[in-house]
Amino acid sequence: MLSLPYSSEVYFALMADYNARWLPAVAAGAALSLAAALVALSGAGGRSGVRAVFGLLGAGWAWTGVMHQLDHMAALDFLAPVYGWAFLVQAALLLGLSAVPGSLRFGRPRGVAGWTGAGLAAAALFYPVAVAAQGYAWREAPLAGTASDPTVLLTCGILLLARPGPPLWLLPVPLAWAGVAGVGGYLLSSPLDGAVATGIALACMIAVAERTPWFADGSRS
Amino acid sequence: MTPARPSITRRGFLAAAAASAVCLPHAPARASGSVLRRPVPSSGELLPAVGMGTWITFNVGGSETLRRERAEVLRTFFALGGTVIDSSPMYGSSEEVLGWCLERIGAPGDLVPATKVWTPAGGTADGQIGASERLWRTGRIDIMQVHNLVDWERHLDALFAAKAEGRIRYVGVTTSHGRRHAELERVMRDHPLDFVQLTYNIVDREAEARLLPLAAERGIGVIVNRPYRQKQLFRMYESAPLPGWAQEEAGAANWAEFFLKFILSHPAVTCAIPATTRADHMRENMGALHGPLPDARTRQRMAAHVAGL
Repeated sequence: MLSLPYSSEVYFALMADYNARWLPAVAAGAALSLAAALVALSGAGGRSGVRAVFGLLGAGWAWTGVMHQLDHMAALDFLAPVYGWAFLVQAALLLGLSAVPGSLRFGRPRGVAGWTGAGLAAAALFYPVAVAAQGYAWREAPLAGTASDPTVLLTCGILLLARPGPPLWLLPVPLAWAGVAGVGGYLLSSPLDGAVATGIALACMIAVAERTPWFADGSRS
Repeated sequence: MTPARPSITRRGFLAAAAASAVCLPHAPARASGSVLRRPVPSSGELLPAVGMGTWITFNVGGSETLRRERAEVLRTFFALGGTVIDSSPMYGSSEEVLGWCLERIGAPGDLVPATKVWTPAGGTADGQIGASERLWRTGRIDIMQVHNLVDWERHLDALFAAKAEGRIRYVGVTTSHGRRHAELERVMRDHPLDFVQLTYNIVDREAEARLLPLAAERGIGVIVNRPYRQKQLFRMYESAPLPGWAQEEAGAANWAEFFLKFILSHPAVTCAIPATTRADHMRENMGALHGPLPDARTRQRMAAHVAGL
């Protein structure tokens, strides 16, 4: 059986070091992620709100790509540089959407997509609770905006809140991360990673299904 | 550095293996009593038959708490007579952590650093030897292996050149999980390797058919990885009691010794490299360096017992 080059124990122990090292930034990242979710859930700010949400998400992916993958995880995992660059590609796409949001709008959650998105965004923000429930310390918890899993999950949740639905070109990187998280969850026997992978895959499926007339009629009614 | 000895014949190697199955340690201050040693076929140098792997276990990044714990594992390993440590650039921070630990506790003079060339994204064997020398903080690497046969055609010439220059002492190639055995066999037949590293344990015994006999025939040392199948053997069997005959017939006082002695009792095996994060487990591993080894009949009994659990 294949295995990852590190253990769960080491991953979370080093997350504590990462959080301590970047304490002001990780707290700011979590706060800004919360703000992005609230703006998306309320639809506040109209077009400016859309710009702000995608700008914050893009910044979170950029930080996570550089600091969490290319710097922090690269010491443990030889594949981290690949992940880091993928995060930077996604950051560029999100920042591009922030600059040119087109007709996208946010608003109160409606239908299957909206409520699933709200649930996934909440799960991402409460990710530390799930980590603590697994027996790890709070200070070892990855946070949205500065660590990979909760950042991807939050983004998927917010994308499902976008109307008339997120651009499909925003989905490949999160979907690829679902694969990474799923394999990692299996190899590390981590149900949390498995749940993250399932949540991301579900969001991507709903985002694609939303494009079908049947789903759109059903979910928006 | 221990100077390389002249190559020995197969007959000489087998005689030395038999005669040196148990001999006095060369550093009495470290290990009390005798430890099982095996000769390197190409040089006759005697190595303790249990070494230490570092896959996952020493990849602890910058955490000083975890590094201190690993240093204690390493200290226990040395205290009980260990000298061969295996790592790879592919193992994340493992080489750098080893260097940190070795500097902290002091590297014994008979340390045998073994690492690998691993260049999936380019790079040269020379460059990786230098990088590993720096990371280990030993100034030398003794056993340099091509990791999982990646680009072995390109790297072997460079490694043989480095050996000829005296920069490294032994050249090897590795595989694991039972993969690419046919290709490994071809490399073993066509190149004057000092070592091969492969997976062999009481349930993964494919190597017995061709590779281990070929290693003995060609005078190639064998380093055995995944001796516990990365903990799986303990998960599978340790809830069962050790058979009553294990101590007397196999010289095994616990499951770790049972699994390791099965491996070490194969005459072609030079050393096994179990990995651990715990000093108490290291003590169990090193226990396999003491006492009698099972004979051929007992080996069959051991395998049959495990298969029946």
